[in-house]
Amino acid sequence: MATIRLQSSDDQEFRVERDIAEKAVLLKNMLEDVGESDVPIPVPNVTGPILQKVIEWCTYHRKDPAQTEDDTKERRTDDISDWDLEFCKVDQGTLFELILAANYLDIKPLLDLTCKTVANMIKGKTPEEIRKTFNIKNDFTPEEEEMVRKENEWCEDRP
Amino acid sequence: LREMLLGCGLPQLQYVSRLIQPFLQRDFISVLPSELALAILAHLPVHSLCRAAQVSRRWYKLATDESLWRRLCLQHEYYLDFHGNPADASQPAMSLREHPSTWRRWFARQHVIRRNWAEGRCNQTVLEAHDRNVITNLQFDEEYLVTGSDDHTAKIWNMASKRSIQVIRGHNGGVWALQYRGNKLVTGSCDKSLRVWDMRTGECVHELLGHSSTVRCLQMHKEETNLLISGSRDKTVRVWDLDTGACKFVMTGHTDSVRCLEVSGRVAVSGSYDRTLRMWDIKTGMHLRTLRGHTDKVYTVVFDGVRVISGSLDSTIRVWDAETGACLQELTGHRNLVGLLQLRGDMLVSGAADKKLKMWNLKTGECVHNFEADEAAQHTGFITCLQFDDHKLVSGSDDGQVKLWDVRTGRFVRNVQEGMDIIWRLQFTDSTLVVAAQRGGQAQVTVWDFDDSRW
Repeated sequence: MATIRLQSSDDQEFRVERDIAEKAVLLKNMLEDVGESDVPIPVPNVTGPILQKVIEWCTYHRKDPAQTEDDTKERRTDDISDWDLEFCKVDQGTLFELILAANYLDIKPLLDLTCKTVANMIKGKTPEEIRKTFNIKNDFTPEEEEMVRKENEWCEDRP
Repeated sequence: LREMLLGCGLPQLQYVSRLIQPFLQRDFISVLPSELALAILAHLPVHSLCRAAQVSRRWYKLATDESLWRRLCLQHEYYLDFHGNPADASQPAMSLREHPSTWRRWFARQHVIRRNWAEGRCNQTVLEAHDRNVITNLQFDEEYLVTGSDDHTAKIWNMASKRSIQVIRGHNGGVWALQYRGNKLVTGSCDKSLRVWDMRTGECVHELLGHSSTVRCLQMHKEETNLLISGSRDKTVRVWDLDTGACKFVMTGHTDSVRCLEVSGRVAVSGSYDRTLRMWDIKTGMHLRTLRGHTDKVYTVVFDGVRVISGSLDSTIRVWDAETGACLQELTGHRNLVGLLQLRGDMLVSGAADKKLKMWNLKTGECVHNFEADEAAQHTGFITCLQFDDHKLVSGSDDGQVKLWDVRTGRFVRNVQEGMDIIWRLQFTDSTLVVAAQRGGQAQVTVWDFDDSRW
């Protein structure tokens, strides 16, 4: 299997097998345009440590079949595999960078996984608990806050 | 740095940890490009999304984004009405007017209405109608409620005020069939006639004469609004011009009473006590074909232009190819007269005199649900009326109970009404249920409104 070279924004170089790199649609398209070449491909928006995580993910999932999306199905967030759960046990900063990298590199299943992971951090929490989790300042005026609370009351269980 | 930390005691480490924590946290929703923030929020269940909207201004803006709520509406099958508009689009925005959220408000309304149905939170109005006579028919929309009775009259009610606005008088026999569209009402009677009424004035516009016995069923043409098709105990099916009151065709062939009929396009299907169904071209009055197979009287028919489905006293339901007249399926399981059928897509619900309700998938011919509850919750009399949509089935019976069922699971939800002598007719829309029943010998119409924004 042919290997290719990837160069992160902080000039770290990674050598990966082509099919792994091609999990990223951006790289796949680039490789199709460039053809066989041993010139390192720059990945300017992704730092070395994040690119390493992304490669780790792509390596583990290299044999996964392509996904199809059904927008009318209810989205599930409880169908994450143990390996993926473990993979996403990182600090929020890393998770944030992973989302940006998955989006930039166009790796839909990884973007899905990381978005789900954040969604799971929001799920089941009160607004105040959500603010605590992500260090968010409540910038509503008291009037606005009351209005927004009222507006969303319909969703809460009734006595 | 490492050396320094190793030299720290626990309280210092805890302090450092608290100090560092905010630097590791990320406000994903506010900092990420909005399409990525929305991709995260799209994974949230409704309840969490509503809470996310209360976190901060930025979160509010994203959690109330129309794209999210539009998809949720589709997922929950909270479809808009056929105009493609939420019914409450004309209402003023509830708050934060710079960001109106129509799909979200539509979702909230539907969500609450559906929960009100399930929990029985509603506004209930009882209308005393037709004294001690039978209510034979019921039809309503947002403007009107019409009841027909064997007391020879029909009554028109204003749905908003729940007041009687017209009493339709003129027939010399019970009204056993009726339908209205716009302001035009047609009634069919035991006095052998059909009458066309102006609902605003209560005036009889035309008297359609020709049938030689009770008019048992009628249907206004869906597209050609001047066409009416009627079936009678006189064994004929007739096509009428409502504008002139003229009878266009008399279609003969049945050898016993015509009990039911259904029209689609230019084809009418009639079901008869002679055990057959007949298909007619209403543009020419020609007989097209006869559907033979039932071994007893046919009581009900539905027709979607492709399939004819009939219910019979022989306890079976038959599915016919409208093009060839071939019987495609025989659905068996009921043990008595199948007098009620409703079709939605490929799903058929049947109600029978064996006290049972069943849901069938016509694609496979399988019975999907038997709507079986605990013995205490079962209907104990034959089913007299039913209606279902994507979520619920409502059934009425001569046991005096109206029951609500979940059509996805087939489970019993609750009794909507009980303690009546008999349930005659029912109809529901998204937010309103109307039931005609008898209580203590007295005819009674009950209107349940499940939309709490109107109370």
